[in-house]
Amino acid sequence: MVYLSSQAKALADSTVSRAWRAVTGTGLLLPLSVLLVWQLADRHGGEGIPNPAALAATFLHLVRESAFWWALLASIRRVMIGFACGALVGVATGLALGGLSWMRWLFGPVVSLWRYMPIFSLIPLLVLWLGLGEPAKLVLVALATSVPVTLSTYEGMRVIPQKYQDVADMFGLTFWVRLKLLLLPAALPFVANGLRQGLAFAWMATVVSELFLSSGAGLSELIVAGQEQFRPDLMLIGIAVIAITGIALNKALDRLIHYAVPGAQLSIAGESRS
Amino acid sequence: MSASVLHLRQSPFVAPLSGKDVVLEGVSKAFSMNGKDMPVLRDITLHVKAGEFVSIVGASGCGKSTLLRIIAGLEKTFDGIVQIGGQGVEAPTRDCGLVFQDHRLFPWLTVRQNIAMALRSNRELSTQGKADLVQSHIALVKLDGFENAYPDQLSGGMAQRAAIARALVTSPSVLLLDEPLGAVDALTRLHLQRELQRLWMTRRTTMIMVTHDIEEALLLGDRVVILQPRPGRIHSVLEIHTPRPRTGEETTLLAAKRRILDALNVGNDE
Ligand SMILES: Nc1ncnc2c1ncn2[C@@H]1O[C@H](COP(=O)(O)OP(=O)(O)OP(=O)(O)O)[C@@H](O)[C@H]1O
Ligand SMILES: [Mg+2]
Repeated sequence: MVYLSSQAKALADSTVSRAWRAVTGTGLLLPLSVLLVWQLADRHGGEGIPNPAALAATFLHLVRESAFWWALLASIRRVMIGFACGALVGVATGLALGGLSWMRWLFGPVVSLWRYMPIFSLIPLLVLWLGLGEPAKLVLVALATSVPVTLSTYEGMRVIPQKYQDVADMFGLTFWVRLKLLLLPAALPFVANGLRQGLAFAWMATVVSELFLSSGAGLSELIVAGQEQFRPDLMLIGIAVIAITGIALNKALDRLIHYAVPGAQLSIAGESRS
Repeated sequence: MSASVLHLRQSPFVAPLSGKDVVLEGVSKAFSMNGKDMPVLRDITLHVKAGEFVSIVGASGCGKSTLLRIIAGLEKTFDGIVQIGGQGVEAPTRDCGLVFQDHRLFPWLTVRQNIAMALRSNRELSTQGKADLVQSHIALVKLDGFENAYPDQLSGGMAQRAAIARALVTSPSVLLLDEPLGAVDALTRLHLQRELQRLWMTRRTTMIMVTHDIEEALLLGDRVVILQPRPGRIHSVLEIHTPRPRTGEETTLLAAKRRILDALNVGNDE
């Protein structure tokens, strides 16, 4: 009996310590304590500021509605299509800028200014040309993605060590072979970084496009609905779902990059530059 | 040791080649540093006959690598005339191979891919032909079993051997070697020196090799060019008539070594 109870105690101990480590290790400690304090401070739910319990109730109600899932799906679809197009355009533009001297001659002087391009100020123009529907949203997301991806890819191409260019010159590599064997692999860590930035921009643009061009399904519906119905709980849940979806997308991209590019290559290509 | 060479001889893709001659006429080169022109090479005149082996020795920083880069066509601006096989050199050509001082393998490619890269712009060979050539050259530098290793999984000497294979695989008429065995251990070094000698004897490739190792220069060279520094210019040229294959133990070589050491000392005292 003594033996059993001590074993049970050890088991309980390890469960508790594991849970503790899960909380502290994943950075959940601060948010969880904020929620707790918030709930304790406002048990009855004040005017305009719902407490965590009320939010949880709203959320549980929401996830039982199919419209919520359709909205989530629509936003994810939007960001994925826009991001994919923008990433393709961005990588291609960056490679062309880095690899073709006439492209560099033409655009080189202004490329670094692209970073300051006010993407969202293009919304009225996009609406004028493309209407309020899906195309305008996708173009906005793609544009927002392409800027950091282009800049980062171009940067990666510019810092390729001359010593490797010499080797490629010695063997008379043609543009495409050089692209495949030297430029792309060497620029890869930079491209990966650009893609990460691009996805963050894409997600932001998705939300903004939904708010400004409110037609069709999307997660921003939650926020708009909350505003119209004076329901801050809906808005807060909307914000939280958007944030969490963004984090999940980021993690998925990291996974993808991790599998597509051997880790060794990422670090080697980065190192070889030093 | 000899097996790999035999293998190469039997390979249908490596016809016994003849080298081309290299002409340097009054070659000078300056780098601009902080707006000032720094002379690196001055008035280098050297005629290397087709199929000749020329060793170049000289103090560190006297412009040996720069000279090879000029011959290879990697340096675009210089004074004087550089010709390979009667043709002026303006850009790298397939006639001319270069083993860099550092191995310069692409870190993201395996040994096999790195060597195969050299044949990418070759349109005459079949895919199988290229694969066979790559494999026989991997064997030549004794890297069998490491075909799929990445450069950072190799020792410095192994990486340098892979780089040598990469330069040899295209069977260039002129092979420039920039301290090719500098990073190789003593034993492998002996092996590769003899392998290089045999390769040169079978292929009759023109070879120009920079080295810090005077015995290596003497073992392999028909002539040894001694450079003196600041700016780099030719101090003297020594002809080595010792018949081949050489072992490095010949008394004629030992006598020549004495003279080179004296010459290098004179160069340093200035
Ligand atoms: N790209 C460059 N820009 C400016 N100066 C250079 C450049 N390349 C070489 N130099 C200078 O030219 C000189 C000769 O360099 P080089 O590499 O040819 O010497 P080296 O004889 O090969 O030396 P080592 O035996 O150490 O390899 C050095 O003083 C170096 O500083
Ligand atoms: Mg050098």
